[in-house]
Amino acid sequence: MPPQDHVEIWSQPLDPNQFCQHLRQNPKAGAFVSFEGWVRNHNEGKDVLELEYEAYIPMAIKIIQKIIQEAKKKFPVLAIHVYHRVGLLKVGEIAVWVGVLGEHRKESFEACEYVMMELKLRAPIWKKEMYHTHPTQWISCSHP
Amino acid sequence: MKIKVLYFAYLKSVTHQEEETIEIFPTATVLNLHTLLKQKYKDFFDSKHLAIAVNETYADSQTKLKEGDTVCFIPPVAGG
Repeated sequence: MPPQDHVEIWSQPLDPNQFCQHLRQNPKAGAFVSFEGWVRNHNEGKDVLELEYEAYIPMAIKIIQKIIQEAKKKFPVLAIHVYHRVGLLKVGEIAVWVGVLGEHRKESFEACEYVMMELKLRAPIWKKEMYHTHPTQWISCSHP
Repeated sequence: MKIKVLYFAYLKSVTHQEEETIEIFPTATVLNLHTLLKQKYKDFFDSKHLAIAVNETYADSQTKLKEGDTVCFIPPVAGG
């Protein structure tokens, strides 16, 4: 992977301001698109108290790197950075952050969407929801 | 031969461990390994509910294993 792309799985709170700084140093860039996935306080009618994310970290990094390579083949963007949290997250915390730097807006949005779609389908990352009034539950999104 | 098996999420709670080493016959496939684990743990997911990784790469149930491989049966993922 070219050095301008980056993937990390973090156990500490994500800091988008810090991540943006890393991406702002490319004079070719004319567009920056980011996506933040947040922990919301409800899911399927249940009140969510907190979430626990777990990852098969070395494989998750490889898979996300591959997804970034695919996105850059499909959409001519300059750089893609992905950070994903693991561990216990409270409502409102950032679970995932994707930043795409491009020359133009359209391909930057498309690359960001592609990375998130494929990450949710393929990255070996799991989420357990803790509720106010129901037993904890592992959430199923989809199989790769 | 010896195979290292990793457990995450639901399968970690079923097996009560993060990893174990399984002894299985040479030429065994991923499917053979799954059958063995299904016999060992009654609540292990059926293979249709699991993806498979061998040495950190997605594989299929017919993949032949070799001594020292690391296998992960992947329950439905939910990143993002």
